[in-house]
Formats: sequence, C-alpha cells, structure tokens
Amino acid sequence: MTWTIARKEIVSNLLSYKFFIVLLLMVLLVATSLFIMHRDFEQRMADYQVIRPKPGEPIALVAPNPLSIFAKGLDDAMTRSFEVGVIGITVRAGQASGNIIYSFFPSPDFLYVVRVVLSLVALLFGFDQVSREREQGTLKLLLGSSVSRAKVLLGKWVGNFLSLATPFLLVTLLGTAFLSLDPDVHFAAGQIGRLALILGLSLLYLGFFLSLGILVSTLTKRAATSVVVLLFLWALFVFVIPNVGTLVARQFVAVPSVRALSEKHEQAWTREVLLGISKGGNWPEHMRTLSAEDDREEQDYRLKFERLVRLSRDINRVSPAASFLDAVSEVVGTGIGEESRLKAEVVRYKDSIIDRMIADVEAGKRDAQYPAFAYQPRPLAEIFASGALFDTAWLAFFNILAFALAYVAFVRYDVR
Amino acid sequence: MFRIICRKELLENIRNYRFLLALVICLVAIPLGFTVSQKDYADRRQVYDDTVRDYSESHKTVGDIMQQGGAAFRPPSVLGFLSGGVESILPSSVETLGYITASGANVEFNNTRKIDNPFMALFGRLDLAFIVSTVLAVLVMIFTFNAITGEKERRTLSQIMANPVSRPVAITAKMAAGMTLLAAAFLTGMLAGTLLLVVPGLGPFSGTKIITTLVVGAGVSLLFLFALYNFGLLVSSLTRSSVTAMVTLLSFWVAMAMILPKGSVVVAKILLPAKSQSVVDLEKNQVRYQISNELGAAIVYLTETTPGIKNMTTEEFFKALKAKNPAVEAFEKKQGELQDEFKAKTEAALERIDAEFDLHKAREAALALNLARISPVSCLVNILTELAGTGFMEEAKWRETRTRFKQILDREIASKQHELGFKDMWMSSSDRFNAKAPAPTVPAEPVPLERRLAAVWVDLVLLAIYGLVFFAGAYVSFLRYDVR
Repeated sequence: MTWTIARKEIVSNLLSYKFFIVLLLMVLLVATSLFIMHRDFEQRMADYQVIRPKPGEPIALVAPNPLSIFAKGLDDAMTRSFEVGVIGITVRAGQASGNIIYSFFPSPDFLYVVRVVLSLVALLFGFDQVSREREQGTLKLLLGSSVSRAKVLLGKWVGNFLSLATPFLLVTLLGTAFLSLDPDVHFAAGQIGRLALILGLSLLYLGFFLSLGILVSTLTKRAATSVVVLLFLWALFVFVIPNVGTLVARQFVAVPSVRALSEKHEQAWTREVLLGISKGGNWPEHMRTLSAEDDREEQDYRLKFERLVRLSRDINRVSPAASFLDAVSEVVGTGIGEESRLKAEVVRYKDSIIDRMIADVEAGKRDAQYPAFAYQPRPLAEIFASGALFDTAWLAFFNILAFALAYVAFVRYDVR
Repeated sequence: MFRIICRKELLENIRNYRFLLALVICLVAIPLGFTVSQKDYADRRQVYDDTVRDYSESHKTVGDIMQQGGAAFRPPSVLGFLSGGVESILPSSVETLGYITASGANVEFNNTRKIDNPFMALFGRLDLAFIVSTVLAVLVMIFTFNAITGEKERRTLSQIMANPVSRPVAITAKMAAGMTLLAAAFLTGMLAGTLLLVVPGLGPFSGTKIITTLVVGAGVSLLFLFALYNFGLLVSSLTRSSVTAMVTLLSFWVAMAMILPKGSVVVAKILLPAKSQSVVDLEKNQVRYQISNELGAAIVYLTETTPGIKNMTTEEFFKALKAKNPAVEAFEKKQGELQDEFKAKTEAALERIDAEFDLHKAREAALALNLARISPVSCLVNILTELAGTGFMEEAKWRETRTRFKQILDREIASKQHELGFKDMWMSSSDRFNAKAPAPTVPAEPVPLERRLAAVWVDLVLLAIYGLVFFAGAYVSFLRYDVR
C-alpha cells in the first residue's frame, strides 16, 4: 500500500504544473551554477599557472581543487602562495588576473544552490501534503480505506522524495559528465567517490526539509499557514543560526588577530636583530630562534582558533544547514579543517628547509634550490573522524526526528 | 471601499501570522547582520589603526620613506554592513617596491592578505543587500503568492467583486496594505539594527553622514521591496493556483538573484573579453625592455659622438666630473636629458597600456552591469554597494590613490634625491636636510554621498520603473482575471 501511495504521489507530481517549473528551475540552477563555477575554476587554474613556483623556489602553493566547482569554501584562501624566507612565511593573494566585476556578484556554487534554494524547493514539496488533502477532502477518503496512517505518511514521503531526488540526481550527474569533458577538470577516482558522498549528503539534507514540510503540514490546518511557519524555520536554519553560533562562540573564545601575530613576529625580529648587533652574535642562531618562536606563536594561535571553530560548529549544529555545509566542505577538501591542515603543512615545510636556507643566506648563495612543497589532502577516513561522520549521522538523525514527529502529529491529526 | 479592503488585508495579514513572521525575521536578521558585520569591521579597523600607528611612528621623515619604503593604507568601510561588495578583494594598501630612486618610485598595490574570518567566507556575509535580496525577497513571496489566487481558491474574490468596488481600487488596496505591513516590519528591524550601531555605549558609529546613508539605504531597500511586491501580485494574478504562483515566484527569484547577475558577467566576458593581468604585465615588460635597449643605444651613440668622452675610462670620467670639467658636465647634462626623455617615453607607453587595459575592463564591467540590471536584485546590490563604499567607485578611488601616491613620492622624494646628485644620501649627514622633511601622507578621502548617488541614478530609476511596470502589469492582468 505504501508503494501505491508513493506511486500516486509521483504521478500527481508528474501531472502538476509545479513539478515542471521545479524541474526547469533545477536544470537551470544546477547547470548555471556548474557552468559559472567551472569558468571560475578555469580562471583560477590560469592564475595558478602564472604564479606557479619555478623548480627549487621555496614557495608552497597548491593548485585549485576541481571539486571546489561544487563547494568553493575556503579554496581561495588555500590557493594563496606561501613564500618561505629566513624571516618567516609571507602569504600572497596570488595573481589578480580578473576584472573586479568577476567578484562583484557572488558565485552560487552547488553547495549554495542545495543549501538555500533546493531546501526551499523541498519545503514546497512537503508544505501542503496533509493540509491540502484535508482541504480537498481526499484525506478522509484515503484513511477510510484499510491503510494505516504510518503507511500513508511513508508513501507520501517516498513519493515526494523520489519526485525531488530523481531529477536532482539526473541533472547533477549530467552536469558533472559535461564537466569531466574538460581536460583541465580531472576528477581522480577518490574525487568521484567524494562526489557521490556530496550527492548522498545533499539527499539527506533535502530529505530533512521534505520531512519538515510534512511535519508542519500535519501541525497546521491550512497550507498558507504552513508556508508561513516553514519560511520562518528555513530562514532560521539556513541564515540565522549559523551566524548566531559564530557570534556567540566569539564571545567565549578570544582568538588573537592575525595582526597581533605579525606584531609579535616583528617584536621577536627586532629583539633578535638587536641581540645580534649588541652581542656580535651568531646570525644563524638568531634566525633559528626567530623561526622557533614564530612556530610557537602560530601553534598557540591555531590552538585557540581550533577551539573557536569547535565551539562555533557545536552551536551551529542546532541547524542541519550548518552541519550540511561543514560536512560537504570538508569532504570536498575546502573546509576549515583542510585549511588548518594545509597551514600546518606549510609550517612543517618551512621547518624542513629553514636550516638550509639560513646556511645558504649566510654563505651568500643566491640561486639555492629547495625541494618542492607537496601537499596531500586529508583522506576521507580522517575527514570523517574529525567531524564529517558526526555531521552525516546528525543529518540522518534530523531526518528521522522530523519524520517521527510528523508521524506522531499525523496520528493525532483530525482529518475532518 | 479602498479603506475597507485595505483594512481587511491588514487584519488578514496580521491574523494569519504573516506580519508577525515578517516582524520577527526583520527584528532578528537585520540587527544580527549589522552586529556580525560590525564585529568584522571592528576587527579590521583595529588592524588598520595599528598598522597606521606603526607606520607613522617608523616613517616620520622623507629619509625614513627612502630607507624603508612608503605606504598608504585603505581604511575598511564603516558602512560595510550595507553591502560587503568587493571590499574583501581590494588591496589593503599601496606600497613602494624596492628603493625609491632618482628615476621615481615603483608603487604597487599590496596583495599580501590573510583571511581572519573563515566563517564569513564559508557562510557568506549577512549584510543588508543579502538580507533584503534573499531573506526579505522570500518573505515578499509569502506575502504575495496567494494575494489573488488564494482569494479565488477560497471563493472570497467573487464576493468582494460583487460589491460596488472597481478592480483598480481592489488591487491598489491590496498592494497598499501589504506594502504598509512589510515596510513597518522592515523599518522596525532597521531601527533596531541602527540603534545597535549608533546609540552611544551600544555601538561604535555616530555622525549624521552614517545616519543619512542608512536612511537612503532603507529607502532604496523599500523601493526594491515595492518592485518585488508588485511582481508577486503580477504572478498571483496571472496564475490560477497558489502553489503554481509560489513555484513561479520562486523560479523568478532564483533567476533574478542568482542566475542573471552572475550570468551577465559570463556573457560580458564572452562578448567583450578583457586581457588578463598576466598578459598586460608581459606587454609592459616588453615595452620596458625595448625602451631600455633604445636608451642604452642612444647613450652609446652619445658617448661615441661626444669628443673627449669616448676614450675616457670610468675612473677618468668621475675624476673629470668632480673637477667640473665643462665637456664632461655637458655630456652628463645631455645624458640626464636623454634619461628623462626615455623615462617619459616609458611612462607614456606604460600608461597607454594601462589605460587601454582599464578601458577594456571598464567596457566589460559596464556591459556586465547593464545586462545584470535586467534584474532588480542587481540594481539593489549595486546601489547599496556604492552607498557602502565597497564597490566600483572605491576601486577606482584606490587606483587614483596609487597614482597620487606615486606623484607625491616622485615629487617629494625622488626629485630631492635627484637634486642631491651623486652625494651619498646614506653616508653624508650634511646633505640630509631634504630627508629630514616630514614624511608625505596620502589622506583617505571618502567619496561624498551625492557623488555615490549620482553614480547609481540609473539603478534607482530602474528600480522605480520596475515597481511601476510590475504594478501596471498586475493591474492589467487583474482586470482580465476570471474571479469565478
């Protein structure tokens, strides 16, 4: 019976004008997003080719991540060049190749499209599932037959979820297939697995909003009221909570500004220079002391920063939109965790060549060669262990919770 | 009758919680957005103040600038909470590269940047432009999607029209009532947000300029909401069911807010592509190389054609120069003239390349902006960004600052160094009278509000036109509407 109801929902969706507009919207939005982000990626790749370090240069630079087409996250920050010198690491924004207009309007990446727009679409699929049937009087007829309320609800959920998920998957897969025709966008086998994970997480996220729509629909008597309540919840989950969480976390964890960090570096530098002059000192030793002190300050900063990130994430998890964003950006490799790892690797790279560099400077060697910086993104197992698994389970929990509450509300629903 | 329908609409929107929803969303989102942006501004301002303080302490004289290099810093925009615009990619300072020599200063934008706030990069900015164009736009959809279709579905529309009321009056009353409630909620949120920013003890901002800009920003946002509200009425009067109206509205909003603005940039890039910076840099290097070769050849020619100089060794030349040998001094003067001539030639050629590049970029940007103006969202974003001082005018002003800074350095430093001739600046203290002069600074001058408004008049007019055209469309379509 569940399947019969699901089929009825699919057929009624297929016959509705709503479905075709949503389909069109999905095609347009996903295709536009992938197209625009692909061009953005190409631009960044061209910039990368220009600023790419020559062999032997002590510069840490990673290429743009092809998966950033789907979730750009902090990829811009991660693809800056980190120039290693005896007095520290200089971060440069890289090649500013474009016209300022390219950055004027925000680029809606796939993650944004799913998080903001398709969540609204999922709500539109669910907002009138029960109240509309009641208004039309078909709910009484449906429940008059020998079908349990649980089956009706499950059938509705399955039918609507399939109506939403099938075109979404088709459009995304088609878009991805087109993307992979470009030789610059080369998805490795592991990245295809990550892409499948992103799609899975997106379906979980959309499933939650569909369940939420059905839940509110069972709690309200009229579809118009249901829309009002759902819009409020949507704005709360997608925009308000993620910003409030970060704001609150910043009240509890004080992180020194990057400026304070560079001031400390300058103080240490001045101190070492003065010591060097007054004691006629050993310059390499002063440089080593400076480097070690920089590392200590950086580590202290990262520890505080990571505490802020953890607290902020924990508060933000009240919203499934924040969990979704965190999980997807980490799986893609453009999240806060990956950026922290990259910075730690750059410091490690500096430490591995600093002694040679100091010796070369002392010897007046001008064209010294250093090993290239190599960065391996975190493996999935590590990403999941550091929070993405929890976020995925959390999203699944939100789904179950919303559906269970919808079931309870539907059991108590007055169908007259 | 207008009043009766108006009152009915007001009461209905209040009773079905839409007004309450709008009020809560505005009271939460706007003050929250202002607070988050203000915190970000406070952090960046702190960095700016510290940097400027450090710089002024260590760069007190012209000599300090000659030794350490000069810089001018861009303060963060105090009105960034209206719209973040392109501020995050604007260089934070203009700085000299290398030593300032007699041939002038090499002034570049400083691209050294560190992202201090990754949350903002991840979650996006919650500025007024975003709140109005996204959150409030969806709110407007909720207010309007069933304004006509809902009444038809509930069969109340035929009852209303059975009264002696004209259709124009009915639709105008609906629009007036809905807009009044929406404006009341929005202005309450704006007031709460503004109080957080400007009340002494609560927020860091004061001054009539900020308040005036905020009032103008609120007015522009209302104009946008008016246009969108009428668009909602138009769609509601063109469709037969509320769900269809809602889905259609959602699709148009997505097109207006996400597809058109960015799509227009892509189209402009295809139709009027500007060269990339790397290509332009390459061209400039070629020009520098070519002119420097020409200068070398000209000096060689001069040396070979000046009697008495050709066979001199460098040592003999400097001895003769010190002894003020007239022939050597005349040669030195001619060589100086040649250098000046080629320097001017290089600068003119580089300026020509830069001007051409800027022109192409400006054309590409203008086409993109004009295409994007098909969407009211782009008009709103453009106006708020210019009001906030985080848009194109700010970028143009920074380029101007770079030129001005270079001129100041050339005039006040390089020329003085030139005057000193071969006397060593760093060794001889007796010649440092010029270097002890106070260091020049480049004040950051804000663009006056009138100029910013003048730059976006097209967007303002377009927003008003959109509002009127959509209302006219809703009016015509409602006249033809089958109320049964």
